[in-house]
Amino acid sequence: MADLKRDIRYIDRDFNEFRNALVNYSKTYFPNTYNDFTDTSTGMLFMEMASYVGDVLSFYLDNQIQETFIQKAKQQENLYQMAYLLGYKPKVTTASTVEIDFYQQLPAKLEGGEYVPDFNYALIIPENTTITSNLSSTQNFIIEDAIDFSASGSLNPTTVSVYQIVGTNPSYFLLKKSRKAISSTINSTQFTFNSAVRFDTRTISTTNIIGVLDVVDSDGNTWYEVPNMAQENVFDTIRNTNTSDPTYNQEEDAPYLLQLKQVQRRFTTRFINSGSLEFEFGAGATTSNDEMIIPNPDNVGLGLPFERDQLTTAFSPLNFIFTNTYGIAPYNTTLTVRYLTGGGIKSNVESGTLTVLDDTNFKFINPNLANTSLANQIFASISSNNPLAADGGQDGDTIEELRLNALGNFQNQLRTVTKEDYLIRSLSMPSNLGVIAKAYAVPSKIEKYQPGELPTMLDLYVLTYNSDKKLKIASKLIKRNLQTYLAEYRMINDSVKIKDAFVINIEIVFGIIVLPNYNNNATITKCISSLTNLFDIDQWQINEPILMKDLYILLDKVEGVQTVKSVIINNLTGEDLGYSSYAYDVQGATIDDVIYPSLDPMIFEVKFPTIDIKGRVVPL
Amino acid sequence: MAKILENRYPIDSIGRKAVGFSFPLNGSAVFIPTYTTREQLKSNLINYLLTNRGERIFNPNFGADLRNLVFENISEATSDELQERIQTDINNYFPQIIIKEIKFINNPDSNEINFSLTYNIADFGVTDEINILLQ
Repeated sequence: MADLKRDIRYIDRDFNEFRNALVNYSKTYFPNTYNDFTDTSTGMLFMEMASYVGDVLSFYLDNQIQETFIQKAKQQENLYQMAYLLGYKPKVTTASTVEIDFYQQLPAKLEGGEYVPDFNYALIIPENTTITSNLSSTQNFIIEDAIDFSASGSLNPTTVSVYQIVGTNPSYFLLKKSRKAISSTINSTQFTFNSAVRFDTRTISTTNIIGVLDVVDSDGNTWYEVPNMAQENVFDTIRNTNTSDPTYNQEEDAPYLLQLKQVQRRFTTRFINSGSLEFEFGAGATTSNDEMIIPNPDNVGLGLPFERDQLTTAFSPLNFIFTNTYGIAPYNTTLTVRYLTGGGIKSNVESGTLTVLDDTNFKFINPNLANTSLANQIFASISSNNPLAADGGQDGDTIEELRLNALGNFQNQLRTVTKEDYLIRSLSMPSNLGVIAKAYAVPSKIEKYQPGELPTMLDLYVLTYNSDKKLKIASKLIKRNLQTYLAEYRMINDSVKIKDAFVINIEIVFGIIVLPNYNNNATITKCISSLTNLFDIDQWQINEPILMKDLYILLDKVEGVQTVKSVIINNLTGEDLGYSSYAYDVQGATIDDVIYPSLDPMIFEVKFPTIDIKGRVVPL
Repeated sequence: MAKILENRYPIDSIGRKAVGFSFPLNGSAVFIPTYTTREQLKSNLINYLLTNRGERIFNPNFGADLRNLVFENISEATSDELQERIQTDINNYFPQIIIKEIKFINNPDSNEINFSLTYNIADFGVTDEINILLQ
């Protein structure tokens, strides 16, 4: 019978219960009509058929009820819908990030009695250039910002060194620039629209979609992605150049300017499942162009119907002008959509592997170079390398992660007030900025604050994954991204320090007595498998203690185990062995069979389960 | 001295109390009541013999699998095996039935098998026969 493990039982009837109910019904109401209730009778055949139908309907009804609760739902599509309902955008993949060094040789020229690089031969590497791993042609990275070897500044420094000397004079210089890259490939597709359709939808079906890069229609208009169609203002970032804003152009630490822009051409995206991204467009007509809107007392609340005053009206800073057009519906046009795919745990490539450059769009600053052979030589000198391994890449949300993140996001409501808010916000950083695998927030201990006054300093301890999904310290780049990301949500007077959590590697040694007639090796293997699942790093959080009782109970439940004689946890340390450099006194931290974490936030990790979990069969 | 004239199932003594309904279903009423255990046993036997294994919901071992015979090459060995299986099943499902004879008359020219089962109902001294033509 269809007695699957259901968490919610609404009808709570199965085949046998329906069958017994029908038999009782017949006995009660038709005692003179039917009395043969043996398995072989034809009457029972009909009753069992009816019971079967009831059982199946009951199962599906229970299942449907179950799928309406986010805590119990199991189907990915339903969880995605509920996650969006609660304001959480699911991730189907997470891109890793890495800093890549780009090198170019320049010929030397004599200028003012001194040999200097001839910047006429400087190259421009455009944004979105692809760099591929020399170990795997499927691991592509793209740089977000263009590289101009002729320009240099504090935010865009160039390292210049002498590459070759002839006699005592330099003949070639070597220029180095660094750029942040994310593991992704740019893909393109087109959506054709004829007559306007209200709230028209289109779908991209492929795996590992990171996000939409840009959408441009046949007339060259840009379409903007918004979280929901009611939101008509978007934050727009533009380069901080003199043309954009002469006032702030001198501020070197602000390479981008943030401004509010009202957009009519907009769309939302949502993942239907891990392999389908649906686009939804608006319902209005082309009546106004995109324009800048600066909030002022006259336009805030414009269009509010039936409102006599705005004392209790809720305003969103991104949607302070209320309209019901929900953007315009595209018609008689073709939208070219560029989107990014890639990421995943495999994208955390090793250092020194990103060396294959796609030089299709490289160009010289000076297009009219006389010495063609030298130009070709210089063009061929371009190379790249990643001094550090890429990190932050992760596979998509698991069912449990979806559930927890969505619930956490709902409580969070785009604010960061409690330490849980900071935790969730850190974990939900956009995938193209890198991923935080573990985070733990704790108010820092400020010594001199008045009684009753709360410390406003918050220490945020974070860790990320390497390519083997082992915990590692997050790079400066990820921390910088996290800092920028959090700044958008934190309260103005909150101070957050981003720090590294400690990883403590452990081994587990256990001894068991095996039941008679059970194979020792097979039982030990099952025990190791159970412990490996328990210590799966996805299941552990920073500062989570180890309850030894749980380990005993877990091993005791393994088929074939008669008695668990001993479970010992030891600290493993030593970077040369591949473990964390931090040692931990496990015995000293054990009180009443609980291994407590240290005061400084840390996480226990079984780094290599195949060798770090050891078991043996002991005699009675 | 008391003398047993006839053994009867208690339900057979109540005239208006139906035991079940006959099988195969037929007639304008479709469900024709049976008033004796003998009739009902025969219907149940027919139900068993005409059921293929796997057809009965949540009871995949129920059925004689006779209809599958039409596509088999009936030899003495397969016939013996089938008889043994039917014997075992009937002992399990119909403990009151004592099989007297099981016969397969194979007619390959017309793609037919004539199955015949002769049985007694234990303690009641009733002999009955079922003939099924499989084609």
